[in-house]
Amino acid sequence: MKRELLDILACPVCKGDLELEVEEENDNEIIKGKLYCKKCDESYPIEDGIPNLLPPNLRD
Amino acid sequence: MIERLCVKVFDRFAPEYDRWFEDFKHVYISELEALKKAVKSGKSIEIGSGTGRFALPLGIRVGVEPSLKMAEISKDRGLEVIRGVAEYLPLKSSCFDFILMVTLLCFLDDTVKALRETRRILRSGGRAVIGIIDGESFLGKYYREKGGRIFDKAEFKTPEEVIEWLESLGFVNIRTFQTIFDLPEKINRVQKIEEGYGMGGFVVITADRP
Repeated sequence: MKRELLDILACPVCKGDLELEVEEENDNEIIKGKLYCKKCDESYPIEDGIPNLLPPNLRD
Repeated sequence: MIERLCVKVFDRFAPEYDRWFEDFKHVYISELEALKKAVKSGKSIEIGSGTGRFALPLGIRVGVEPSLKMAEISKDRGLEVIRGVAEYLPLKSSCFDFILMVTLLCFLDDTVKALRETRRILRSGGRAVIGIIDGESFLGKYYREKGGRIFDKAEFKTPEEVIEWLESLGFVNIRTFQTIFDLPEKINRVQKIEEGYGMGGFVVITADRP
């Protein structure tokens, strides 16, 4: 995902801001990392450049 | 949990789903043309972006899609995709001018919740554009009888239902367009687009947030 995407992203549950933690990034985008919601104490993974913001009970 | 089931089906049959747009090219183009009537400029997103077949030709660069396989196909096509569901949108409030949803409502667990979420993320003056297969139309009946791996899971809505929901959520300037006047197998040219609903199998409903 591109860094700018963070401007529109929110926690799917509480709609609060997400903190970005990058594990792998190339010139274009973030490939691997996490989006953390402090309020819910929940981490949402970014894998292969796609953030997974499914609510925790619907996640794989 | 219809949606959880749907996501599994879409994961399993993503390439097959995507091939429909090639096999029924004139149906697809007719639907795209009907949606173009309702497009609004500004910051946009598609909810239920699938393989990106509607978002990208309509100039939308970002989509929300629960199925990983569908998301991967759309990403390869150039869409910035977020895995998420319509009832719990992982998006900030009052962010968008134009939200697209095509053949999505029939696969949702909670349509009203999803429309409430849509309203939340729209800016004042922003527009929701909803494409549905009219459940009361010949096409809705045809798909119900035909079934198939994907439409077996669908619960088609009617334009009246959707309009009532939109009105109850405070949406205004509600307008409708229709297209697809014959069975998909018989369509070999792009169909006309008319205002209103009741005749066409595919209906576009557009509504603005005050």
